[in-house]
Amino acid sequence: MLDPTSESNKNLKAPIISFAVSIALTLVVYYFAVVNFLDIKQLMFTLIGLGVVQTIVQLVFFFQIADEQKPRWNLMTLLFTVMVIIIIVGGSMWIMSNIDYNLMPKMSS
Amino acid sequence: MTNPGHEAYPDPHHDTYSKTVFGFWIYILTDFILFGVLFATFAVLKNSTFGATPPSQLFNLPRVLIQTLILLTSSFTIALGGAFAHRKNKSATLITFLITFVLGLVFVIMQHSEYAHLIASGNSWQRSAFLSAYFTLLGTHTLHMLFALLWVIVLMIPVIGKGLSPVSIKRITCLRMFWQFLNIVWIFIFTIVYLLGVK
Repeated sequence: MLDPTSESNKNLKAPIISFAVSIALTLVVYYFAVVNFLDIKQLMFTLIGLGVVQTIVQLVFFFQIADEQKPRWNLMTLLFTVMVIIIIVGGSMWIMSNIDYNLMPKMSS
Repeated sequence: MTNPGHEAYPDPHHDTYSKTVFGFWIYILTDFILFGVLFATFAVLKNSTFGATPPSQLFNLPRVLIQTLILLTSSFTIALGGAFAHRKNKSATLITFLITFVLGLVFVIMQHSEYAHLIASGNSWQRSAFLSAYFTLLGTHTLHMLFALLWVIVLMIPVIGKGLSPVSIKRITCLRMFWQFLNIVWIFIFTIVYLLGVK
């Protein structure tokens, strides 16, 4: 899809694969969340990890990002965006949890 | 971005074809950053419920699962619609986009009734920082969905009238990208806001 002139746009198999895998992953994620056999930290990593897997599956089979010819501008801009998001989101949460850590004990005492 | 398959699309502006899609991809990526920031805000404010009802009693998970499956199915039907448009199959394109539109509409209505329910039970965005972050994140997603629904209507009218021109195939590709991007954002809303939010 990201290369609008590619013949792979006529392909019906890729959307079907993406749909089947995504449905399976959604149900697995839901199952993990509903049955309580993981502690919160394990659950967080598992669920977010599976979310990332599902995103990659959709980028490959819905967006067909792997079909792109060189130079892979779509992929490069995507990776740059992922880096920006990791810095912004990770950095914000890191700073805010430090602020919480440094402020909370005084407030509760 | 050049491809020998150009001949298949007799578009006089075929050079702008790939550029339009690439430009729209850049827009999608900036929108990912927008949602990333809203997710960060949500994660920071998640526990600031100010003594209000905790998330575990606010959300109905089976209902959210149904919504997720509906949106996922619409993402699938719009992918089929895109493939049919490239095959110049007008009636199949229209049918798949009609199904996509109906599924999207059901999704937005379910989302709306959830907001209405929360506000009616005294849990509006004014109640706590957690609910402000929740409504900002989810509201932004719903707003995008409303624009996507409007876009489906606007896009399908010329297809009904004039058939699948190269320009409309290009626009369908952009709409498809936008819709599937919203589905990817929803995967994380489903996981982080709902499934992990109730823990």
